[in-house]
Amino acid sequence: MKYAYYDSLIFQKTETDSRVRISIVDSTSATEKTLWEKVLPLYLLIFVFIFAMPFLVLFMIWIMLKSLLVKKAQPQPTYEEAKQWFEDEKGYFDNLSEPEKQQMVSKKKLPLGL
Amino acid sequence: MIKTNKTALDAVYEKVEIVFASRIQQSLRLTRIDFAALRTWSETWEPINKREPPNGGWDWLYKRNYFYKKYSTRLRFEVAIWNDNELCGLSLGRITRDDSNNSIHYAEGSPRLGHPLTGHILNIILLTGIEYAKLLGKKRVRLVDPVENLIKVYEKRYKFECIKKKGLLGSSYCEKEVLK
Repeated sequence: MKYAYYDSLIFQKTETDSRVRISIVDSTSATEKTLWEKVLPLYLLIFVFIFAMPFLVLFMIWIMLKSLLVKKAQPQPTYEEAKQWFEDEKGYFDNLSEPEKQQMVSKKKLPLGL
Repeated sequence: MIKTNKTALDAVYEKVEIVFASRIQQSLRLTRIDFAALRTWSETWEPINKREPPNGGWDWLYKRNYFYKKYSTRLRFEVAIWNDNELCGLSLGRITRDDSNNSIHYAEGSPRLGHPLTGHILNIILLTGIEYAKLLGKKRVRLVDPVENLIKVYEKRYKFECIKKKGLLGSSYCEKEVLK
């Protein structure tokens, strides 16, 4: 079945009324085998198609505009700029009070070997 | 001027190494989660690790590769914590594109009982995450899906504000403002 090829959906107008038969047929076997079949009213299909159209258009517009709407990543400082930034004592740790610094580095045994 | 391949995250590693090395009297080296870290993880952590996700025990090779594939270097937060040649901690996260936060998704210490940096791993990861967030101008550090029995520690000791999972797709998180 891994390499099986299936005919795409087959739409057939039935002879008796305005209904459509949708089926998936396995055409790889010697005798054609219908794997799945459904008969639906034609008007239902037309309704679904018309109903889906606005969403389809909106989806296409979204795909086109996505690259413009997504924010670009902020520029990142270089290694040298970052080193200078820490030397200027603009870092988080340098601006803590001494008790806060002590707490930040004090040992505390926690789960997950942390 | 000599050009280096080092990035801002390397400068943060160096800063955190200096802060801790003088205070904990232990050798400390921070790196990215490179092949050496992954090899050491698979050789020394994996055979003895009894933890089960979501409480540690993650497949760090898979997690690291997933983050590397999904996020570029500038949108990734990662740290491997070493004491000499012993891998003592790992952490992975991501940086938001806007100025909102640095999210830490995974953090775990070595499963070897009594490893040299026991009790310091979370401090090191949090300080690295906070310094990196502040350096990049992010407003907050966020811990995504925190382990249940660590929530009180985050709230009381580190002054994080924890939010419980909302809705089907939401996730729990703890966060802290870093831009003062």
